[in-house]
Amino acid sequence: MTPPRPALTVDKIAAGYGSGLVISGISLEIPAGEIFGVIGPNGSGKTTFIKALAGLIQPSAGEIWLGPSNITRLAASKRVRLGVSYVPQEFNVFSNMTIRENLKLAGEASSRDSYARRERESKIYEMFPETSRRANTRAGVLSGGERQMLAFACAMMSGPKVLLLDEPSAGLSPKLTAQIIDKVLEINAAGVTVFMVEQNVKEALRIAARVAVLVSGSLRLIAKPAEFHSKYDLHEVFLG
Amino acid sequence: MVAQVAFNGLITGLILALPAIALTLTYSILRFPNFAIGAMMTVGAYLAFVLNVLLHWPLLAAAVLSSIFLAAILSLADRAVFSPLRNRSSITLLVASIGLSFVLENVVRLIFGNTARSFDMQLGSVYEFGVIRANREQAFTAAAALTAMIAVYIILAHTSLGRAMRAVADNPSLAAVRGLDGEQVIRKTWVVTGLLIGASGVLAGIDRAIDPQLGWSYLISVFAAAILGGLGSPLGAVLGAVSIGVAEEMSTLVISPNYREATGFFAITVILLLRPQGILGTARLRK
Repeated sequence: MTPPRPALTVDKIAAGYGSGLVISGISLEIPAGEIFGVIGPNGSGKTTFIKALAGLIQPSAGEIWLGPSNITRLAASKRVRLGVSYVPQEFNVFSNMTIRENLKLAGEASSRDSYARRERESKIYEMFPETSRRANTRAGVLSGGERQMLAFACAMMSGPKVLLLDEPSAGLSPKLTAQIIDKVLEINAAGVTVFMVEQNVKEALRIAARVAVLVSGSLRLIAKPAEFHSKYDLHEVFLG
Repeated sequence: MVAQVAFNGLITGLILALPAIALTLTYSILRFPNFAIGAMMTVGAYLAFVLNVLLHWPLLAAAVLSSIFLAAILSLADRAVFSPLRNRSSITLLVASIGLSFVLENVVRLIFGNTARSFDMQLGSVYEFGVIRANREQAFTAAAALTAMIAVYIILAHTSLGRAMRAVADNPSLAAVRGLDGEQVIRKTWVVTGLLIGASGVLAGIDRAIDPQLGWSYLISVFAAAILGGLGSPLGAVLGAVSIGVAEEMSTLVISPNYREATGFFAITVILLLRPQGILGTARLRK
């Protein structure tokens, strides 16, 4: 029996801005249903990597596969329809729109089936009850944690197979970070594969099944969290 | 006398409001100031002239159909001129729009010559409201402009297209990762702005003689209205347009009407000095 295809396969990709490369030679496979973390020092290329997966930056080399589909050359909007959802670290909601408008837009943008959209919207309101209670509140007045939750809810409106999260706990208090992490676990439990770039090493090691360390645009290693405690010295891995 | 002049200014403001909304929409979604908007108004007026005068259609029907034609022409112009330059700077696109304005104006000149024309409109009764007198053309203009503005409000506030347009205007990258096809939104924006500019061309043709320079005579005022209201804000564009229209007409009480359009230049200068973001615009910091 052939093993199931990974949810996301990255094969030797290189990407950057203009003619300068920020990441290169990155390869990895993420099985369906896994939470995969990427950690690394500032400027290591984590955000460039996740933007390349989301389709906001075109890789200059290599390939990206979503299950059996090669999505390397697809625009970001087309990737969403195939099942890739991305939550940026900042500016991740439309501030001038209400919570309801943000969710409606996310649904309309990713699917033409109005019945499926309505069904998904009511599921999202159940999963994120705060969005339902404050549906008519303008997103611009929400706190950092509330905004992050709304961004998650919007990302889930497209019914993703793979959810890309760029530093979801950045700038949040420990209490809010715990709530966000719980939500990530809940989303994952619903069958969504999670790819998470995280500055907060402790949280990444706590919830990810495997964690990759990115240093100077290259993958230094991929290991299970337990191995980071027993086998590797994180400072040494980070600093080379 | 003053009340009548202010009323005339309000009507001028309503004519300016439609292209000012179109200008602000293209600016916020395509991120360049469309200098060709005057020439586009001229084309809209001539399309309606063909239907109304040469083919004897009623003016209202001619206005509707010519606006649809203009929306189609602008969609083609986008494909030919702006689409290949989409990722260039706003200055490049501005220069392209200047080029397009010369092409459009001279195509009109080539086909229709320089003779001034006018629509086939029956002179109607004058309505009196106290000291204010409104003629039939002004009533038509006010009704058409208000209808168009309400339609734009409904589109922007209550439809999926409006949400998509606002999203792309606010944050194009986020719009893309939500699943919005930016190119499709841009194409639909041209249709909406084409309808607005087409309608404004007809209203301008009712207000003044139709000649190849028609749009030019509104260009500064339209830019002044959009800048005064705050580029990127449709409601601001309406407020700016009405303010500029009234200010232009009121200025004729103290200066020669020949200098009326200087009011627009003056307004742009004052706004840029005192409140560059305009009435409803958002201040942006450049690092």
